[in-house]
Amino acid sequence: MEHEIVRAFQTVRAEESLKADTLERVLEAAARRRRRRRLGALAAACCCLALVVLGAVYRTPTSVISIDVNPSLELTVNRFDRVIAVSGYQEDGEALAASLRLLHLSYAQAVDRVVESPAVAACLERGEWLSISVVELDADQGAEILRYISACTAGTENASCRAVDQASVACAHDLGLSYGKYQTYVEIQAAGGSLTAQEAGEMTMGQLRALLAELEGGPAAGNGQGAGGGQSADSQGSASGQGSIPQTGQNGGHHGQDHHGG
Amino acid sequence: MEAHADTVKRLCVLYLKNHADTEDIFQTVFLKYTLSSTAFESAEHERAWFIRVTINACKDLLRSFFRRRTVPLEQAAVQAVREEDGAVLEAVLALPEAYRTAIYLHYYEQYTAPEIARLLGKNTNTVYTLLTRGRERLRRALEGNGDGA
Repeated sequence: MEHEIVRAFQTVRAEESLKADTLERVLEAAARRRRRRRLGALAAACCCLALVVLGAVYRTPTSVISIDVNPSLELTVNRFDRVIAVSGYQEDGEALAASLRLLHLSYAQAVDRVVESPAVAACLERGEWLSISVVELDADQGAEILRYISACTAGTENASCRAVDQASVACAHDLGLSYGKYQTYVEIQAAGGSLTAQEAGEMTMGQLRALLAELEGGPAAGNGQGAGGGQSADSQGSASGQGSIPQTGQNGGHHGQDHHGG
Repeated sequence: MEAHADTVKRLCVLYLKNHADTEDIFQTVFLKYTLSSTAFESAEHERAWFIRVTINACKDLLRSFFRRRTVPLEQAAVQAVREEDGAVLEAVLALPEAYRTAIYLHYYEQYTAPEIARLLGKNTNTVYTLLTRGRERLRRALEGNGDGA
């Protein structure tokens, strides 16, 4: 019976036409698959490239917000208004930076958190001067940030904010100072003060502003000496251009323009 | 394709007995083979893959609701074979599915009962039973044909 079964099944064979049709379909399917794989690879490459570009754009700073009381803190902001780096200056600044979670927050949330943090709030309670400087790398964004911060500090007497030109504060970090504190340090030197960068770093913003006011012969600014009152040597420019970015050096020899609270 | 085309065709005939379905499954199996990422260890492994995939594809087709409702009982493929071969093939194809598969795999493809059990996912003793009963049925059918002739 075995031989009969084998012989019977041997008569069943795949026709040449069936094999030819199948081969054609198989080749078509293989070609389609290759095309799909190529397209998939291309799409994956495009996605990777887009991610790399987006990552690079995300990591590119467009503004820096320097918040100085003493402690001093800098928030680096990207074009998506997100904080991409936080730097503290001197020990208290570093401690403040380490105590707050500010990365990837919007700059508005980050500034609010810093200003409302116990360390900064305690300084303000003591009458220290809060100075917020916006270093504009992207003019449109800088103006927008300044507008927001001006609105935030509008109700605070011993606070000011201003736009600062990056070129004028380029060597701030080399001296271990934040942009905002460096700007005031330069102004003190221009007014004839003989202060070292290290001394400036150790002084509060209130003390620096008081020294500057003294050198310029004006009234003492709100500071750690209890002057307060929201008036300072920079106050001439406070009424103009809230939210606009004035040019460096327009304000009586200063490199920026303040918008005072109060 | 040459190495396995006849095996796939025979299994299709064994299960489907329908030319259009046979053609569909034949092409489906080779498409699966082309798109498969299976790394075959040997020619024997590859042959077993073809047998298993063909049987599964045939069973899937037979189970499909759409086919049950729409395909007429066309016997074209079987008739084409019958004319050439005659009584033995007709008798094997007339056996219930489980018997004819076991008979085919054992006598034509030369698989042992344990190997058939592994291929079909059945118990080895069940395969022995299928072979014994299939042989008996086949013998009776062929004897009946002989008497009638």
